[in-house]
Amino acid sequence: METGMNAAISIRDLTVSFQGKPAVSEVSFDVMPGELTVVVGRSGSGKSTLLRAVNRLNECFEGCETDGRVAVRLAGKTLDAYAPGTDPERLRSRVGMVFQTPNVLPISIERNLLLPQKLVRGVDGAGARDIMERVLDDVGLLDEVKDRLRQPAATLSGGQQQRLCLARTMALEPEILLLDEPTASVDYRSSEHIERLLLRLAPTLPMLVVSHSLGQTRALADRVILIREGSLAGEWRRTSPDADTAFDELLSSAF
Amino acid sequence: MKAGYRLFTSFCWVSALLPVAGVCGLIAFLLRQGWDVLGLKLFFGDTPPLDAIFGFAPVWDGIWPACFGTLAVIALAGLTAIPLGLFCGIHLSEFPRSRFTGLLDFCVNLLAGMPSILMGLFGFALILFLRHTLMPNASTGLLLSGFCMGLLILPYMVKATQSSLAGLPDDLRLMGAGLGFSKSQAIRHILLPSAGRGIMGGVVLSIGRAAEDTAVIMLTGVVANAGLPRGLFDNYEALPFFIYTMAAEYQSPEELQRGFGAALVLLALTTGLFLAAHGLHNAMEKRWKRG
Ligand SMILES: Nc1ncnc2c1ncn2[C@@H]1O[C@H](COP(=O)(O)OP(=O)(O)O)[C@@H](O)[C@H]1O
Ligand SMILES: [Mg+2]
Repeated sequence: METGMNAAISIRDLTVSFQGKPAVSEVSFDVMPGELTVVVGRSGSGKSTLLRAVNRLNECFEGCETDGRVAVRLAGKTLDAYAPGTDPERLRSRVGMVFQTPNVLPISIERNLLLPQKLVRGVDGAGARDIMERVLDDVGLLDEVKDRLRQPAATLSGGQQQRLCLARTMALEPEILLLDEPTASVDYRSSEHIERLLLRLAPTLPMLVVSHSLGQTRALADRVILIREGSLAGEWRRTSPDADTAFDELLSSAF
Repeated sequence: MKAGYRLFTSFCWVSALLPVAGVCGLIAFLLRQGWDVLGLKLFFGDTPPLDAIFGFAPVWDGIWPACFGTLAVIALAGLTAIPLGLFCGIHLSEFPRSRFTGLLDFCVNLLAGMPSILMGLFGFALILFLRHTLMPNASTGLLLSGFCMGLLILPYMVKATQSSLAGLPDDLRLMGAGLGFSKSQAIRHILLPSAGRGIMGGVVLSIGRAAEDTAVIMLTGVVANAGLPRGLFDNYEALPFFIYTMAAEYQSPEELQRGFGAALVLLALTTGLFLAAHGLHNAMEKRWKRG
């Protein structure tokens, strides 16, 4: 097991329970920089809860209790996420998250990208617009929406909304990215596009990705974490010997 | 099965048509009774209108002072109760549940169920108390009425804000937090605008209530023939009270007719305020959506 010193995310003995019922129990692992880590497991196994534990989003639910240690590496320093002095708002703005179901704001497409930049990072005007165009291009949405930026975001298709949510998070220039089934409601072509984007970003942007698809996991993962009923049930590394057979073995029990 | 469904839909239709018929009937009745007196004379009597509006000359035989008084009471009550109710509703819906929020919720419900005459009585008693203690020359007036009226409409605002915020999907809250918004940013920029329509309903209800209630103002400062108030502590006239006195004590058919005219004016006034409120809301919503 790694020491967790240089890890982008270091999780130790993490237990999260809702109303006393554990959804994640005693999970420990590290996400190393430059190593795209994918979490797999059946639905209801606690993957989303695990992701939300990293940026302390579970605290938004009543009756949720978190135990254990989560540390993230931000601006070259290791930050204990659950230390009393840690500001959860700063943590969440630096550790970007995209949810499983797209949740665009019921406002125009461009405001979806500009409002968070202004409120969270204090960026507006031309600078914010530049970032907006760049992230829209990154997620392959620019050509589709550049003529309708002032229309309501709700008029976009499910897949477009999902990509808009990814763009919105990227516009805040996070140092770590948490993606919860980023291609769950996306058509085949866009999901390919997103996968290429993630592969391009992975070397410089540490990320933890929940995936529901075997093919996607095979294409993306340098490292796989298998969760079963809230517990760590297996791990896989691309660099390990016999990686191919080990992958098939591990994943056959996941999907 | 089929007959049952037909019965059900006809009930729905009848129930839907009744309010429409009721409102149309009411307006037609008021128009028939009051239309003929509508005119500058109803508002200003024999005083030149411009002199009356700017208070250069007193109005003896018109409802202009009553219009002004009613607007002033609505403004005073709205300016206090609408922001207060908004923040109270935010507290109830968005802050962690505690023994205090339970107490607050109970008090608001109690206030909501309180008859308006009690609110008037409270204001009246407050003045008596002040006279015997701190302020020997305290008297009823516009400010007191505005305060008591504010108390009357406060629960409407609180409840409207609370329930429309509570009705928002949890996803919306999680999204704000997930993007790193602070709690106040999420409330200000995501939750309140999303709940705008429901909150607007509370504002409209509050304005309507403040415009119409007579019990509160009767005990706290409204007077027949007071003229335009000279300040916040002065007595004043009000439309609902004028209508009440006309209907209760009219000496001639003309006076009763002026009561109906005043009723039409009150209706127009509240409708105008509703439209203004909706216009404001639409403008705010547009700004929120388009930037
Ligand atoms: N907000 C919540 N309140 C109560 N229970 C929850 C909540 N979120 C998740 N759970 C429970 O935690 C378990 C894991 O859920 P989740 O993390 O969403 O699984 P996955 O993402 O793997 O499908 C489930 O049993 C679910 O019922
Ligand atoms: Mg999930």
